[in-house]
Amino acid sequence: MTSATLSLRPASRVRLPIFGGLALAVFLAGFLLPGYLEGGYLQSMLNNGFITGILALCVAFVMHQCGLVLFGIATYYGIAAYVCAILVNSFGFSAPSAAALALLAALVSAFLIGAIVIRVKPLAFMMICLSLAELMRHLVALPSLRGMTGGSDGLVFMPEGRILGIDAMDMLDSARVWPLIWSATWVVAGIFLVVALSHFGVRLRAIKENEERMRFSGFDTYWPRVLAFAGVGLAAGVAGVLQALASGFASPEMFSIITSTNALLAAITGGVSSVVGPVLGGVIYTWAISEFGAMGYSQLFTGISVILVILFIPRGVLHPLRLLLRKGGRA
Amino acid sequence: MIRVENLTVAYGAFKALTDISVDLGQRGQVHSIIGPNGAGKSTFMDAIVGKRRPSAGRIFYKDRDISRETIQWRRKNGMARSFQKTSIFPGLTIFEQLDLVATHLDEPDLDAIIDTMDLREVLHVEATRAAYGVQRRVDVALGLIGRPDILLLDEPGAGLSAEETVHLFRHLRNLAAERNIAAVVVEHDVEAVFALSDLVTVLDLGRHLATGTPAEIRANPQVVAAYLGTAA
Repeated sequence: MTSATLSLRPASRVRLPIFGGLALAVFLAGFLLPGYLEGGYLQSMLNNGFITGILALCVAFVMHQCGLVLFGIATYYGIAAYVCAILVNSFGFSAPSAAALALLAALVSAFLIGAIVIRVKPLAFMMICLSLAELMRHLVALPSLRGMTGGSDGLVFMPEGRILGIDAMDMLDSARVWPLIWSATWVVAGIFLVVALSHFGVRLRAIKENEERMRFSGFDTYWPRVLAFAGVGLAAGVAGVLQALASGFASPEMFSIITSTNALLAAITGGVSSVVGPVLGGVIYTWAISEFGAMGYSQLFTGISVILVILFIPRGVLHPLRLLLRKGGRA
Repeated sequence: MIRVENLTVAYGAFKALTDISVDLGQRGQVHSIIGPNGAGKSTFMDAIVGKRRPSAGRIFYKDRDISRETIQWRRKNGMARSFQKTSIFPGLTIFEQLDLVATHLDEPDLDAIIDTMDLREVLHVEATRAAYGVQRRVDVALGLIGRPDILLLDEPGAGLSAEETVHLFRHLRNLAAERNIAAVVVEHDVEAVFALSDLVTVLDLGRHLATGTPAEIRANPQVVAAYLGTAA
C-alpha cells in the first residue's frame, strides 16, 4: 500500500469494499490450509514464514512511517519468548498468563528503549538497536543465569492451559498452532494498517517527512515516535510468543543478528509500503532459505536473490503485481 | 505584539545579532525586515520563533517574556512562520497535511484557508508533485492554520519571479487586513517590500539600522549608504 493509497483518495474509498470482501474470503480460507498441507514440513515452513512475516511487518512499519531502519527487532521477539518460557518454567505460570506478561514485557522494554533511541540519528539508531539485540543474546547465554535461561543451550518449556481454544501442548503440532499464527498475523497486519491510515499514522509520516515543520506547526515530535516504537515492540513480542509456544523452546539465537536480518530482508523482499508485502516477503524468504539450504548453498543463493530483488524490484515483489492489477483495472 | 529588547545571538565568538531592540507586528499590517546578505535577518526570525536561543536580551510577545518558551508553545499561542526554503510535507497530499495541522490546532474554517490560498483544485495532489508556486502557497497556508495572531515569513518570494513575488505580497496584505493578523516578512525584493509594506526594519551586520515607513527608509541616509545605494 503506497502512501498515496494510505491517504484514502476518493477512488480508494470506492475500492475499499471490494478489497475488504476479498480479504475476508482469504482470511476464512486460510483456516482450511492445514487440511491441504497435512502438517509436516510445508506447514512448519509456512508457520515460520508467517512469524518472520510479523517481524517483517514491524520493520516495514518503522521504515514506512518513521523513516528508520530497525535492525534489531530480535530484541523484543527474544524478550517475549524468554519471558514466556521463564514464567512457565520457573514460576509455574499457565500459557495464557505467561503469554500476556511476555507481551507486556516486550511492550515495556520497547517503550523504554524507544524513549532513548528515537532521539538519535538514523545510523546510530540502527546500530544501537542491533547492539541491544546482541547484548541480550549474550545476557541470556551467561552461565550464571543458566538456571533460569538455560544458558547457551536455550530453554525448553512445557506450557499448560489453553489460548484461544487451543491447548498449549497441542501448539507443538504445526497444524494445530496454524490458526493462532494465521489469526495473529491478520490482527497485527490489521492494526498496522488502521494505524497507518489514522490521524496518528499521518502524523508519524509527517514527522518523517519534515520534523522541523511539524514542530513549527505546534506538534510534539518525540512521543508519537516513542509510542509507535513501543507498539512495534509489542507486535514483535507477539511473534516471539508464537514462536516460543509453537516450538516449546526459547534460545539465545532468537536475539541473533540473523533474526533481525531475516526480518529486514523479508520486509525488503515484500516491500515496506504495504501490510501484505512484508508477510509475503516473510513466507518467500523463509521458503527460499529452506530450499537453498537443501541444495547446500543457502547463504550464496539467498544473497544473490536479495541483490536481484533490490536491483530489479526495489519496491518489493508485490509492486509489479500491484501495477498489473492497476493496468487491468484501467482496461 | 512583539517587543525585542537588546537581543544578541552569538554562534561561538561570532555575533550574528548585536543588541537589537525593535517593536514588530501591528495587527493588519505587513512589517518587512530587509538588509544585505549576512545582516542577520534569518537569525532574527529564528530567534523570534524559538529556533535560536538568545545569547542575551529578551523577546516579549503580548507583553509576556517568551525567550525560553518552546517552538510548540509559540505556535499554539498564535505565532506561525513559513520558511526561506519551502517547508512542507512532500510525501503527503496537500489535503492530508492541511487537515493534519488544522485538526491539531483546532482550525474552525480550513475551507476558507484552502480557498484563500487557491488550493482547492490540487487538494489530492501529493505535495512533491505540485508546482513550486503551489508548494509556496501550501507553506503559507500551513502557517495560516489555527488563526495565528502573527505570521512570520522568511523570504516568501524565494524562487518566485518578480511578478509572482508582488502577487504574493498583495495576497499577504489582503490576508493581514482580512484576518487582522500581523505579517512580518524577511524579503530580498526591495521593490516589492517598499510597494506593499506598512513598516520596514533594516538590519546591517547584525545591528538594527532603522525602522520606519517605506518612505522614511528610502530617505534614510544610513540605509542608503549601507544597503540601498543608488538603487533606491
